[in-house]
Amino acid sequence: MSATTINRSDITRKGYMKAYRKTSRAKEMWDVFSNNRTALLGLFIIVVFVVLALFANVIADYETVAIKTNPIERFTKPCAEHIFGTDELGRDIFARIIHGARVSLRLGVLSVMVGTALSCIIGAIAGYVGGVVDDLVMRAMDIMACIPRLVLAIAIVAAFGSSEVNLVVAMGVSTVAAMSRVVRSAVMSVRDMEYIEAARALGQSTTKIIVHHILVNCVAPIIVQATLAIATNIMSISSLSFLGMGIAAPIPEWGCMVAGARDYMRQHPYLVIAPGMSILLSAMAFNLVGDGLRDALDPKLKR
Amino acid sequence: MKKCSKFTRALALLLVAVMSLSACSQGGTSSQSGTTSQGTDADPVAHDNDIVVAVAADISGFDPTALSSLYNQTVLWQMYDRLYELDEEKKPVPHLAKEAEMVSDTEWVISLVEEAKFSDGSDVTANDVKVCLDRAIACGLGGAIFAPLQSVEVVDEHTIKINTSSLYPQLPIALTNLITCILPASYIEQAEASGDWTQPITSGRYKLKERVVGESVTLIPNEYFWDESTAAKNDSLTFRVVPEASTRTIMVQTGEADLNTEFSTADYEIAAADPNVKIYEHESSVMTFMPLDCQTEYFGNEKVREAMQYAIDRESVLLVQANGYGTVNYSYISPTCYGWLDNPGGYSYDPEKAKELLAEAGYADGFTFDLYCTSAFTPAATLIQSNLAEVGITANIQMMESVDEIVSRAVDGNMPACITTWGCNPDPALVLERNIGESALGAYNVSRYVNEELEELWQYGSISENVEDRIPYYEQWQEILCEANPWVPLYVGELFALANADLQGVQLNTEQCYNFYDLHY
Amino acid sequence: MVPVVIGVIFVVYLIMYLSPGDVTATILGSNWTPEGAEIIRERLGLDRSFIEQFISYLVNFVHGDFGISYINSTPVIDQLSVAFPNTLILVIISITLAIVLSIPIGIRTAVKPNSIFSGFATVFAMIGIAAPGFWIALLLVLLFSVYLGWLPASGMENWKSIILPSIVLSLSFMAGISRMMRSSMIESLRTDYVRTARAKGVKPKGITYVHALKNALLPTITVIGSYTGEMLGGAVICETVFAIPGMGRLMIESVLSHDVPCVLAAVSVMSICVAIMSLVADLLYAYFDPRIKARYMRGRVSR
Repeated sequence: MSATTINRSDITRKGYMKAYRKTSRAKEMWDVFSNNRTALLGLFIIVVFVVLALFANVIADYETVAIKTNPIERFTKPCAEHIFGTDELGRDIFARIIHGARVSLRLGVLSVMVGTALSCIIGAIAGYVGGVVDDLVMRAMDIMACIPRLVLAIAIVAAFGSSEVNLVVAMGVSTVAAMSRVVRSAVMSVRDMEYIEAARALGQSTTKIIVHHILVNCVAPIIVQATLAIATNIMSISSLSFLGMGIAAPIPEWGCMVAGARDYMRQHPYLVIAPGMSILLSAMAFNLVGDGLRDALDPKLKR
Repeated sequence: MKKCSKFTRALALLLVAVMSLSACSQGGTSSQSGTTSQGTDADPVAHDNDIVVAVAADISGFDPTALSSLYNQTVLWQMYDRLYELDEEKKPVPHLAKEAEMVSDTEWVISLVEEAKFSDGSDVTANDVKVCLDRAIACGLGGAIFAPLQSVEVVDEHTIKINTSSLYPQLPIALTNLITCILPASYIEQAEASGDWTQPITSGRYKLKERVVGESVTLIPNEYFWDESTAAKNDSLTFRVVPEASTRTIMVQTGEADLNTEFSTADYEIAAADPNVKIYEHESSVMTFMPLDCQTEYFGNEKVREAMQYAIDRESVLLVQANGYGTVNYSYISPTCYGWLDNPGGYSYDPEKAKELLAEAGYADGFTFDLYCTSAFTPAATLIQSNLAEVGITANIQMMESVDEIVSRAVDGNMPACITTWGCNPDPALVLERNIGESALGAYNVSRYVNEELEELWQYGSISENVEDRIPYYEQWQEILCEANPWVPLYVGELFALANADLQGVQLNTEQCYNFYDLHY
Repeated sequence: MVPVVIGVIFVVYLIMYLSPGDVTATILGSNWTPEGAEIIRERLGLDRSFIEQFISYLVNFVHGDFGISYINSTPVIDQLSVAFPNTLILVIISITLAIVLSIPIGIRTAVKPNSIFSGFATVFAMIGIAAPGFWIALLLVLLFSVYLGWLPASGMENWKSIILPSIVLSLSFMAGISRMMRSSMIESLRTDYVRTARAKGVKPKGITYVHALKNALLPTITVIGSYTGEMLGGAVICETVFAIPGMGRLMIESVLSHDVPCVLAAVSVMSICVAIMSLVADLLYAYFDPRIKARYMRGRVSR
């Protein structure tokens, strides 16, 4: 009876504390973030891409505009009807760009989610348990870190084939080495806090402590890292597709579009401009937002 | 601080460069030909006779019987002699063979050029030729072409006898094939034992100077080559591997390469406007087609195969894949072959008709299959995919690295359809049985189609020495095939090469089997 | 170092081992027969257990025997010995270029954060990090090879042909390093000893280049070390676009043709290079930082 009472009051107090901390910290963060003009620009670009991606089918139908070939209209220069022109198969480049945004954003975000989930497990175990386990896990991560990210992704895709799932896994796995370190150091920084000791003293299970108490308080650096990782993954996925190992035709992926336009680039340079700019803008946007978040979260750099 | 301002300037320059680039790209094509020629005029290239040929892929090695890819052929062709060569009219002319005599319907006695020598100075003997021809027969790459060859005998030092199973008037053509290249018997023995083919002893106009795997092959003239009238006119011949088509064009324009034998028509207008380079065009015997695996459930259905003929827009395939340079093809051989028929099946692009046929076949809702091709055929594959989507068929494109891979998948029955090419010998007897005959099952018969009637008729391909007598049979074969539809024939392209405008001796031929000894400035 | 190398080879070997697909089909191609396949399998020792195969691979690897290429039937080491120097030259030039340009840029932007130059540098860094290498490469080829005709578009023939690839490869690192340099410089300019030096009357230039720079270089060294991996990943793309016969292109080509020994060797060698570089960076860091040196002296080797 008494145990439950303590527990309940503990929960309410904790809930209150959490709610209080959350609002204040989130507001503080937003204040810093919204003062950062470049970060806001990044956010704006992301919002534009997300909106375009969400309403891609409303703007231009996938089957009939983005995919269907129309050889008679091929190499139409940018004009009112086709604002980015048409490609070597007569498809509207703008339609392909916005459908490509779907692919890039989806794969970029999914792969980072996979990578983050893995990193949280690995980093949390290493950071919380410490000792030999930590040493072993971090050695393994050192090894993973030695394999260049893109090279690792290529090797995985080469070995298991270039389906969308494999691509997400490959990109996810290749982010683990860097991200798990971030998680680990974040975990280690809160591991010895009093409230963790309190939770331990209350007899909560290790899993519960890690998930409910430790990771929750490490969210900030993880989010920063994840945002930056989305940018790199969008670039890596388009690089893989450019090399012919990622997304296959006719799916409008930006890297694929550049690769397909390569032969015709000398006569029709506009073919490579739009998809390349899309990769650049989206990657830049996630980088800016990531940097903005970091500045907002890192008191050291505050002026 | 001084240093910093320099960096400011450098950085500004770079930014300006990037900006001007995007400006250029919006400016379109009007200004670019001028700047290109200006750039090269200002920097004239002094021509030496070290010829650089840009090719798309590396050779697999120096063993002529290992693989008969275009790239192996292009390089090995220069290094090794064969008994016959093809002349301008695609007729076989004796080369290492001095004289050939048919002593009976099935026996050929061939005497060899006596002064012929290998690059190590030793004589080319009848025994060397026998060993090489035996390997060619055994290697399986020749398929139906070498099937009639029974045995090769050494008569004396410079004479051999070839026995065929039946009358085989196409033998000299067969003996022009890459796999019949002549190497010293002693070298073959040694190379087969060690697996090391990297230091070949050659019989042709060139010998190997250096090979850098994946990068280049450099050949220099073979000083022992016997035929002075056709000896090399250049000092060296380097095949540089440049996978990207537009890069190969740029290299010829800038003088980095002298010849690009696989010029992409995407660059046609740019190259045509450049006075420093010259475009060579030639009709081609290379047909592009889409074999359908007739042992699959859906393509096993004749109605479905007929529907495919109507569903695919060949004109557009030709346009997107070859930029319109070439002719659409409805037959199973190329227009350069004896007895070619133009659209004997009377097909056309008609999606409605295709839908009707599919409905009749019980596939009103279509079906899904994997379409295999190499990445070079992405435009064609994407277009076909889009064409088929319109009649309800879903084609998933699967990219393969090499044609070999596609063939080996087909043998295992894992390739429902693909897009591939075949360089046609002028004689259909050497084309069709090799591609659709029962004997080619497990090899190049990728549609795994066997027609009983045709199996009876193949023999008439060698019924007479006179081509005119064989043509009615060739026409009959095509009519049968255009009714059975094991493929979707697509188009026959044109051959293009881009060379430095000053380069002499560029000659193309239908088979894309080029000789480079004549190239010089 | 040694365990890391073994670990790297293990990971790469494992990925390739797990890949589905029949090796014998790759080697024999259209000449495949069950008997032939059996002979090949025996010759390659494919019937042994994974551990046995791995150990024998490792032993051969240490002896410089990377196996025989499935496609060319030539020893893989022959191809590596051609490809490796090309990549090495490319990467060394690019790293040098990146360092030589970006450190002064970083210093300058830190010292005068509100100048026009800083503005340019910030925009440049934003773009440099987010621009996909293959796209920048294509644009530079369009500009310098096609329109201007100044530089060759491919190959590794002379010094001219190395210019474009090294610019492309160094671009994102320039951006990254100059940003790192800037932030660590700003931080170091705010430290107490710089303030002390200023109070002592040391000239501003002296403060910037002697006192602050020395400390600001430390984190930059770590960043440079950790960028080597990225650089090799970038080299894969660069070499493909510019047709440079280096490790990256070797890897891509062997991946596409399923030439497993070649892929294995290429990935392993690249990863070992990264391992060596990060070791060198660690040593340099220790050399420049007396605190770390002291710690190493006490025999505590850990990060």
